[in-house]
Amino acid sequence: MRRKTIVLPKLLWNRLALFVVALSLFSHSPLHAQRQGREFGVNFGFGLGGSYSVLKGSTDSSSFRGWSPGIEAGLDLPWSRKSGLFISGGIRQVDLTNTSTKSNFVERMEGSSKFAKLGLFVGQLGFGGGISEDTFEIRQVSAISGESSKNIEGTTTLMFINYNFEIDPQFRLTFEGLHQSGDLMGFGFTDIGAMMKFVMLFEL
Amino acid sequence: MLTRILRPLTLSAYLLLGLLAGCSDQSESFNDQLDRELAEANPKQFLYVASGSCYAGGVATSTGAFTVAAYDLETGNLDRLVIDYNRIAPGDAPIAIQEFDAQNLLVLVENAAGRRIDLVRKDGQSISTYLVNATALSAAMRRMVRLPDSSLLISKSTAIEKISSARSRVTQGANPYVNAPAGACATTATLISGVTTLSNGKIVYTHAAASPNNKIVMVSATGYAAAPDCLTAVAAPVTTALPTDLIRHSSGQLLVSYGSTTATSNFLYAFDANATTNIINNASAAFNDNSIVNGPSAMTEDPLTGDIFVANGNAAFNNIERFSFNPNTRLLTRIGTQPFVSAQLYSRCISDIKVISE
Repeated sequence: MRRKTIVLPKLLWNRLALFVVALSLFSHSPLHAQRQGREFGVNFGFGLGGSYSVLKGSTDSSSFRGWSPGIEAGLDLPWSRKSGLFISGGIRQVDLTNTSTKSNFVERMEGSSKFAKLGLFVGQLGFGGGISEDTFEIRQVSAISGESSKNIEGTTTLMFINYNFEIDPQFRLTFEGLHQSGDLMGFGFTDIGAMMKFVMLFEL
Repeated sequence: MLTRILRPLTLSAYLLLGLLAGCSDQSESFNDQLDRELAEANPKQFLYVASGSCYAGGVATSTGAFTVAAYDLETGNLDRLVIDYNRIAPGDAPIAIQEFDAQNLLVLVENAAGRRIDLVRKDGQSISTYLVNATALSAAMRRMVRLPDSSLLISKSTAIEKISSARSRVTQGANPYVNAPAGACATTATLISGVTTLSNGKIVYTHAAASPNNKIVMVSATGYAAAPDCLTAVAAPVTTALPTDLIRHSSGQLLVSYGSTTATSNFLYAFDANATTNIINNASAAFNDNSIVNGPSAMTEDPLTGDIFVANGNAAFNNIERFSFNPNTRLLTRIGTQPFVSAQLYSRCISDIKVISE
């Protein structure tokens, strides 16, 4: 079954960025800055982000860009109102397109990354690392070789840093930058991504 | 205070997203890249076929084409003619082939006026002489085996010569490496039709002569110097069967091809070979349909699949059959209902076949 390829024009990215700016300013209005610090509790979030992935072989490399929505559930373990640990796990879908400017092929990378994270938060800032189980299918339509599909998978490591805005005692908005790297079946895999997540909080 | 934090944050977010949107580079197709890397790691394999002067157990054979050709290992279709010896010297007959390196083959050439080993590029673009040694290559060439240390064992019908990786003759005393062995290994100095080695280097060869000298012989890895170097000898299953080639299958078993003017004595047998105890036993018929295998002149194994290729030198066949081998049942099963390579110019009187990379 043929799927429709999503190609984001730069203008759309710029609009998304402006939306992020507006939302972050909104989230810090005095009306919403109700709570100071985190409570012991679980959380569940979902979000949307952008991703830029590179698969590097022995001589050449392939890069992909596109969307990466995801869901994530976690546990906050504060030792004070301002700092503590958090753990989380989730899944991130990727739907990326080869950034090649060549016109003789179109290539799309789809799949998922199931990840587990461990991090430290200090105030609104969080950072940490984790591991990710990645499974991707890369489909190509080429003017030379026709249709083809390859599967690639493996375990990679990730590092992240995020900034959290308390919208409400029950909600949090998180902006996260992610760097993921490792080996996928002999290919060096690197991914940098940015994601905005809307997180629901449940105190225990 | 909040504004001081927010400004760099929002700016960073904007820049990162801008980076993601604006990344544009010389990205290659991943699928093409993977195909290239796989091809480099696992170069395509071909069945190289030498058509020269063959021995098929006494059955009538055709005149060889004096060529080396490469056949597609999946389809059996001719891929290319590697070298045509008719254009090099009259009487040059390619007898045996071995891979030398990623680009070159060694081709043992029988020509009473100039026996030699050639170094031939797999693409046929060049040929040079690898070895000329009138003493070592003094009788009709039959087989050539390349050992792990890059030395060569060469059957010259009456004896087995060894050539070091430095291209010098390795003797036992003043004699060939295996020469006129005595005891149970006698008399095997007429037509040594096949040669292989076991995991510890011991040499196993087949000898084709009238019974009781149609036998399989095992000698020491250091060659034959004295009677103790004859380790064992095993008679053919029937007196009329003449062994024409043998290979050591990746399962460890020996597969021996037999040809004969007695139709029912054309077959393939499997043997167990114990390299430590020097025992060759448990002979069993692996394939005995002489309408498929008749006058086998060469055998080889595809190292990736374990499949066996058998060339029929009988002039009425001149083809190559492909079999799968089950080491448990010790049976060969023909793959398909037609020969893998049907009779054609380059499959006449096949003297050797090998699965080698492109």
